[in-house]
Parts: sequence; structure tokens; C-alpha cells
Amino acid sequence: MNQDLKANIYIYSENYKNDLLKIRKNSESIKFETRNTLRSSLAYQRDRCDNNNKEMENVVDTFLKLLLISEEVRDHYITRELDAKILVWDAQEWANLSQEWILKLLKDFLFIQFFTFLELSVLLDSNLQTKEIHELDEKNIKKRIKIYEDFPKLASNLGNFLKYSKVNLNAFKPSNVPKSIINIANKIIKRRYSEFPERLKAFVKETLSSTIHEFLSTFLPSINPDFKAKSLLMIRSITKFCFSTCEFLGYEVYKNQAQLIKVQNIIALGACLEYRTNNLLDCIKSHKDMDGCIYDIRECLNLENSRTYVGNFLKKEQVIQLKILNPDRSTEEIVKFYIAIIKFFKNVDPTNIILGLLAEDIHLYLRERSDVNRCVVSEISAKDSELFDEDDGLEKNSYSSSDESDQEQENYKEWKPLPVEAKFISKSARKRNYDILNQLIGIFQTKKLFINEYQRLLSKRLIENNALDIFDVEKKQLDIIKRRFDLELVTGCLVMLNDISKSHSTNEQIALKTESILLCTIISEKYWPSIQSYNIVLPKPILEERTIYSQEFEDLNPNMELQWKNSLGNIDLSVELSDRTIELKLSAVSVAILYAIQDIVEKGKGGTKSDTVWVELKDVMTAIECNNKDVVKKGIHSLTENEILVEIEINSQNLVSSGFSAFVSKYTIAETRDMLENPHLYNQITERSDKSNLGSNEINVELKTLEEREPEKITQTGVYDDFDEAEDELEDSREDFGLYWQYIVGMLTNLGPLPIDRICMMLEMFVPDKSFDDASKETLKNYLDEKVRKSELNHTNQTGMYSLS
Amino acid sequence: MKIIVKSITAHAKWAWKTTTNDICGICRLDFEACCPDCLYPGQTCQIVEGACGHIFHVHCIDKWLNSENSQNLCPMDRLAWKKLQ
Ligand SMILES: [Zn+2]
Ligand SMILES: [Zn+2]
Ligand SMILES: [Zn+2]
Repeated sequence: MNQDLKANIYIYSENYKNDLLKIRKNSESIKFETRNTLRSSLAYQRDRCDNNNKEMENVVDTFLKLLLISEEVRDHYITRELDAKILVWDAQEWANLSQEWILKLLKDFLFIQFFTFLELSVLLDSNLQTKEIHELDEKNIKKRIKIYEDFPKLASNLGNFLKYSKVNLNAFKPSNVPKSIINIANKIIKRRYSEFPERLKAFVKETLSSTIHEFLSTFLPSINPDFKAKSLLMIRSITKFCFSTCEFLGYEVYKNQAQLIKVQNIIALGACLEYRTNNLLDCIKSHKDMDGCIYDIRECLNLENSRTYVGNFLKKEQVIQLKILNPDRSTEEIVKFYIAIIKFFKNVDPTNIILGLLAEDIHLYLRERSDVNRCVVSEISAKDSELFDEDDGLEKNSYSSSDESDQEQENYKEWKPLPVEAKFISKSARKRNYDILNQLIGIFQTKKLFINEYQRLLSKRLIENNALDIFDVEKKQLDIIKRRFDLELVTGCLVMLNDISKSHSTNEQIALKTESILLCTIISEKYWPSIQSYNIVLPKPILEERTIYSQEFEDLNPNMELQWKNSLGNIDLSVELSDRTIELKLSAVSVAILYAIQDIVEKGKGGTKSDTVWVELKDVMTAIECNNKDVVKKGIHSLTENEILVEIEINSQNLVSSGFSAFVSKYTIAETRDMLENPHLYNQITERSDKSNLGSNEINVELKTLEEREPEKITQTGVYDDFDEAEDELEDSREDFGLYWQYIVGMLTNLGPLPIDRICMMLEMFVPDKSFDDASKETLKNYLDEKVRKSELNHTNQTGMYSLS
Repeated sequence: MKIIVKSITAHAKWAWKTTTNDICGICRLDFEACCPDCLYPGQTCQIVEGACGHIFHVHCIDKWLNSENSQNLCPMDRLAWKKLQ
């Protein structure tokens, strides 16, 4: 049946051709009728073929024949109808066609599109030429012009068509063009093209360009995922194909070979650039097909005005706003993305024009973000940051040179003038050394802001890590940063690192003399952004080491003394428990806690298992004289984590009345593994002892808050000895704060109850040159607590508010 | 439990033994900061106390004393400058 139909159509179309040739000048209605018949025949055949390969190929075969016929009789309407028919095939149907057939179809189709176009130009032009223009009705002219206008659309249809077929375009060769088409083409061209008036030739050129462009840009985005090959290479081959087709057919659109190549290039690069730019940010983000992207864009930037195109596209089309500067993204994410963008453009565009166009918007946006400084600096000084490595390479090449243009020369092996587009970015932006580091520093409104943040984080890193371990890396980074700033700005950082290296040599000197096990970082405090340290009572072994060290230091530096930062630093320990020994590194706070707990436990210890002494957070805070709950909790946590301490939670109902929560955590030393596994077995007696007045430590401490502590009530906890000292300190500070008492009374009168932090803040405002660190805050607190004891102030534990009595 | 301390890392700030929390009367910078001509504070930029009780960076007072109009007087009180010991 199908075979019959096919034969029918074929025969019919042969007839049709003859008929049409005869009746070429005849009425539109006949053409229309014939067209309809053809169309429905093809549709019928198509519907029958049921995705059967063989039948599909027949359809295509018929289609091609019809195309040829329609061209022969110059009835392009048929072609267009057929286009539409065949283009509605879905992907499945195209997939059923064999490669060979798709290629054949594609080639013929493409040729015929050009062919149609040129033929139409000729027709139209000849009409215009014959000065019979007045004889042509307006409608007719409009209709024809419409077809011109449609041509790019047809090309985009072709792109769509290619989208569905997985054609290997490398197989395209003009020599594969079917003979029949060439014959027809030649006939027309020989007759017509040489007669083309200049105006029309120009038009042909222009439309040809835009057509190819249209075709490529519809087609390219769809094929990308499947093509590993660089799209530019492919675009080039397609463009070249299109042009050589024209040449082959004798159109001679561009008579001059050099000009032809130039135009080919422009079209290919333009299409490629547009395509790549569209996907650029996604590409940079996902890091997929980066090599292809870099290769293509670098090539495309040879096009005039391409940089402005890319820059403005990313800027004006709200692309950056949508993809990067999105409120939903974290600043860290944006900064990372920005770094990737800088890296990319630095790589493809050594003139930095594109980056210059983009940077300002990004910087303005980032400055609005409160955490941008922190993010940028931590990104810059991240351990795995490549930013400095890269800079290092640059440095070696241009070390002796003094200005930025050398870098440019380094990048351009052969000198090239800046593209005209450079005028679109400011002179200062042009001059700027666009390495990534500089670019990032540019986010900060002033260099000072950057350095302040850098210094703050540097201080943090040097304190938190073993400064010597990171010294070399930090030194290298700072050296690089130093070159970009006035010396004055980086002084603080230089002093900090100098402190580290001086401390190192002091440590070595002292260790030689005394075999000291203490390594001290001796800081010039004025240059270190606020270091957080808490006053805690340290255990004897550490204090002894300190005393030795201090002594040695003063021997070396008779006019200097050391003032220790108690809560900073780490200690390497070996902790010998009943059934195991643990080697570990702990913070000074944790070690102080461990010793304090050991002390309490030893003192309350009886001879048996059930006598285990459990210690509460408050006990520990009292013992090490630290008011900061979080610091102590953190210290305890690392001890439980290392299984030196064991924790239980006890529901101590009897304590509710005193204002503490019903659940209280208690800790003791995990002498044995058994204690870690069954801590509650060791607590039964203790809980009873809470009620009887047996456990001398707990009851007293539990019922007293630190704020209310009175020396005589804590005598049994073993902190008593140290308390005299604390009392002395209090005496000293009382003098100082006496001056502020009036201020404090004033603010409490005017503002009502205030917490300690607010009081400190207000005092800082009132009293010139006064600032509170944690230590002095604590002293003030002691002073206020004493006022509470004297009933001059009230203090509420729950809210932490002080108020006037 | 027995605790054996094997090594300690600690932090301390250094301070001049003699100073109050005051600033150098010449350069108006902290004594524990260096004078404006130096980069690093500490032993390389020491302080010196005069018989009159005023303390300056060594570099600052030297610079002052070398100037024409100092006449070897302390810039603060115009008493003859004499180093303590
Ligand atoms: Zn000075
Ligand atoms: Zn100096
Ligand atoms: Zn004086």
C-alpha cells in the first residue's frame, strides 16, 4: 500500500512538474490546488509510515523530490509548506532516520534554502529593474518582501531541524552536494547572478550573513551537551560550508578571497561569541566544558567590539544580578564565584576590559554586604588559596620592573595595541593591575578597611594556630600584600610577624639555658587587634614554668617584663588514669579545669567506689575563677570528648527552689573505662549525700551563685587560698572604679536596670580613653558585685541586670 | 589520675618595667609602640627616663636634643635633661 502510494506520488509529482512548467504563468488557483494535493499526499504518507525506518526514508525521499520540483517551477510556497510539514516531526521520528538520510536531507535542504532565497532576490530585482514597478500591485511586492524577511526564520527552522537529529556535522562537504541540485543552481545562477545590481548584491551579502548567523545561533545551543569538540571549530566548519556552497554554486558573493575569509570569520566568531556568552556564567559556575569555553572566547575576542559585547551582555541583561549578585546567595558563594570570574577573564582577556566593565557593579553590590570583608580576606588567606601562587609567578617575571604595564607586556608575547573598546572603561581601571588579589582588594572601599580586616584575621590565625607552623605561609602572603600598600598600612601585620620570629629566637635562647618546656609568643600588644583572654587560675606546674620563663626573659631584657595571657595557649599532656594513659593537647583553659577538678575530687575522696566525687560547672568556675560560662563549658567539653572526664545529668529536684534548672550536669574524672560506660553506678551514694549534708563541696557551691560568693562559705572547696589574692585585686580596682561610680549611678537612674555589657559600653562613651577588655570588665563586675553586697545596688541573676537599690 | 605536662605554648605581652600607661610626650605614641622612625617596637626602640621623671622614646628625645632649640632641656618641663642613671 505504502509502496503504491509512494510510486503514485512520485509519478504524480513528475507529472506535476511537467504540468507546472507548462502552466507556470497560469492562475494562482491551479497552483494552489496542486500544492494542496501534494501536501496531503505527503501528510498521508507520513502518517502511514509508523516510525518504520524504511518508510521514513521514503518520506524523505519524496520530500526531497518535491523540494526539487518546487524549485524547478519556482514555486517556493510549496517548499515552505513542506518545510513546515517535515519540521513538525518530533525527536523520536528524527531518531528513526538513518544518519545517511539525515545528512542527505540536511544538505539538500540547506542548499535549497539558499537557492530559494537567491532566486527570489532575482525575481524581485528583475521586477524592480524593468521599471514596471508601477505595474506590480503592492500586495505582490509585499508578499515577496515578506519572503526575504522570512529567510532568517527559515534558517532558524533549519537549526531546529538539526536540533533533533544527531548529525555529525564534520561529515559536511560541499562535494557531497547532489548533482541535480548543482545543475539547477548553476542554471539559475549563470543566468542571473552576474546581472545582479550592486544594491542587491549588498543585500544578498547582508542577508546571507544574518541568515547563517540565525541558523547557527538556533542550532548551536541545542547541540552543545553532546559535542565535546570546541564549538568554535564546529561553527567555523559550518560557516565555511555555507560559504563554500555559495562559491561552489558560483554566487561569488564575495569576489575577494581575503574578504570572504574575513566575513566567514566574523560570522563564525559572532555566532560563537553569542552562544558562549549566553552560557558563560553557568559554564564558569559548573566548571563544565571550561577548556572549550576558554578556547572559544579567547578566539572570539579577536572580533571588534567583542569585549564590550560580552561585558555589556553580562551587565545590562541583568545576567550578573540574576546569576551572581543574588540575595539568596551567601557572600562567601558570591566571592568565590567572583574569583572564578576574575580567573576566567584574566585568562581569556589580558586587556582586562571585560573585567573592567563588570567589576564596578560587583564591587558596589558586595560592599552592601556586611560580611564581605571577612569573606574576602578569609578567601584570600585561605590555606589552599592559589591567589598567592599565581602572583608569585608574575612576580618572578617582572620583579625588577616598577609598573603595571610590564605585566601586560609579559602576557602579550608580541605587542598589541589596546582595542578601541578600552575607551569604555575608566583610565584608572585600565591602569590597574588586574591580578585576582588586586581585584579582590578593590572590593574594599579603602585599602585601610582591607588591611584592618586582614590584620584582625591574621592575629586570630597566629593566636589560634601554632604561630611558627604557619609563619612561612603568612610571611609570604604578607610580602605580597605589602607590595600593594603603603608601608604605614601594613606596619601592624609586620610587627605581628616580627613578634613571632623574635619570640622564636627568645624561646630558643631560654630553652638552651633552662630546658624550659614553655614556648611563649611574646606580643607587642599595641599592634595586635584585640586578643581575647580570660583571667583564670592556672595550675601550679604551668605557673612554675611561667615563673622560670619570665625570669629568663627578664635576664635577657632587663628593662622589660611579661604579662601573661592566661586563657591562651595549649599544653601537651600525658594523663595517666587507672587503666589507661592518654596523650593529648589541650587548651590552657581545659588544663586549668582538669587540675581544678582533680583537686576537688582528691579532697572529697573516700576509699570506695561509691565515694566518687562529682563536680558541677559552678564548682569549676569558682575554682578557676572564671565568670564566663561558655569558656568553661567549652573547656569541659574537650575533656569529656577526650574521655578524661565523664558526665552525668542528674535530676536534682531539691535544687529547684534555689533557682537552678532541674537537670544539672556533673563531671568527674573517668579513672576507668567502666566509669565511662556506667557513670550512674558511681553516683548513687553521691545523690543521697546531696540530701544529707555529706558532700561538703557540692552543697555549698550549688546553693551559692558566683555573684554572691562569700569567702567563708567556700572555704572547703580549696579555692580559699587564692581568694585573698582576688580580694587584693578588688582593693586595687576599687580605687579606679570609684571614679566611675557617679556615672554608673547616673545611667542607672536615667536608663533603669542595665546588664554589665551596657554599663561598660556607656562608660566607654562617657569616660575619655576608657575601653573595656574582658579582664577589666570582670574587675568592674567584681566592683559592682561588691556594691551589691553593700546593698548599694541590686542584681538579678536571671536577667543579669544591675539596678539601684 | 596523674598529669604530666610535656610542653606548653603560652602568650604574653611584653611591657616596659618603668612606664605608666602614658604616651611619649614627643611623638604622642604609646611607649610600647615604637617611635615614628622605627618599624618594630621593643629593644630596637627603647625608652629612657629623665631625672625630671619624664619618659620618652630614646629616638625621640635624641632627635629633640639634636635640634637647635632644645638647648638640652626636657621638652615637657624645660628642665635640664639628664638621663636617670
Ligand atoms: Zn616618642
Ligand atoms: Zn625608634
Ligand atoms: Zn621632664
